[in-house]
Amino acid sequence: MDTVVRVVLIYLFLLVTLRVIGKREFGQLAPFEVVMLLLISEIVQQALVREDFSLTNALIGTSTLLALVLITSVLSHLSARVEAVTEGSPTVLVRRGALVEPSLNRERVTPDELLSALRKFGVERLEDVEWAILETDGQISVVPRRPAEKQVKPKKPRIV
Amino acid sequence: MVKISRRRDVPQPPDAPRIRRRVRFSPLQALGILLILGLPLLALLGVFGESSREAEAHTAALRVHLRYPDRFRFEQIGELLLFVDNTSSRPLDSVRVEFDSFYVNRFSQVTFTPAAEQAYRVRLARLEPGATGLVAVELQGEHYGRHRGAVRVAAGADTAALGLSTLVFP
Repeated sequence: MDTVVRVVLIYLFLLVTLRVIGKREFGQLAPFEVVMLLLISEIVQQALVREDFSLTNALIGTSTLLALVLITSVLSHLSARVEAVTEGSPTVLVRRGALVEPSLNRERVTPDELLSALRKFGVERLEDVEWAILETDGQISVVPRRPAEKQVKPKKPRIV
Repeated sequence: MVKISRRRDVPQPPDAPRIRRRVRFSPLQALGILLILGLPLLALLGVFGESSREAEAHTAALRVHLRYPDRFRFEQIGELLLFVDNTSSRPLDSVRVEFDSFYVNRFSQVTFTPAAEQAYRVRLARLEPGATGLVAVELQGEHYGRHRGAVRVAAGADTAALGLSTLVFP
């Protein structure tokens, strides 16, 4: 019974704190964030199992965690409001080539990080971006502007 | 020239289309979910928790009360307590308490208080009329499953036996 209660408390604590610190922190696992994750699991592990290393305790702890994940996912699927609370909502960082400064500051995304994400999508310049959105999983999605939207005449292909 | 929007009403991404949100599980998933939800529920009801049992026996000169672990988990420690009362009007010079070896051998780190004089045999000091002697045994779960045995208490020709049954969860 103790294990179930401890797993529920730790799960709720992590759910709240990870939502509070924002999408970016664990969206892209930089080396430091990997170390942070390892540290968290190391700290939490002692509180979860205490001195009880039995298989029974491990199965109870694991099934409790899976049950919580399942319940959260079912509730999120059934209710858009719960989904917004547990998973958050996407944040627009660039709209039609313009940086959305309040969003960048709130999500602590620097222009350098944003440009790096654009380059990964093969986009060189900010004005070529229709949308850059920080998704709920912490990844940045980039939708390039179509040529018609940029009002650029198609160039003739160069044949060398 | 980079355009920067500092407006407080930040733009929102296009809305996702709406569907009727329902939950559907395949029969196999439903079975797995029953298992996933069932284990914590059973644990909350105390099915996998530690518990102890009590038993009592009387003879002409003795009242023996036993509290022993009914179930506990692997590598956890269970405590067995045996209280022996002298209910007669004369002192009992020698009270012997003996545990079945095939029961005790299923556990590790077994400690007897007072110390066992032979394998799993404890002798209590002189018991005055109305006095109570105590034997405490600590057992660490070493083998899974239910282990059965008995404990016998003898004072002269007076003997009492009580059964033991302990389940060790893996």
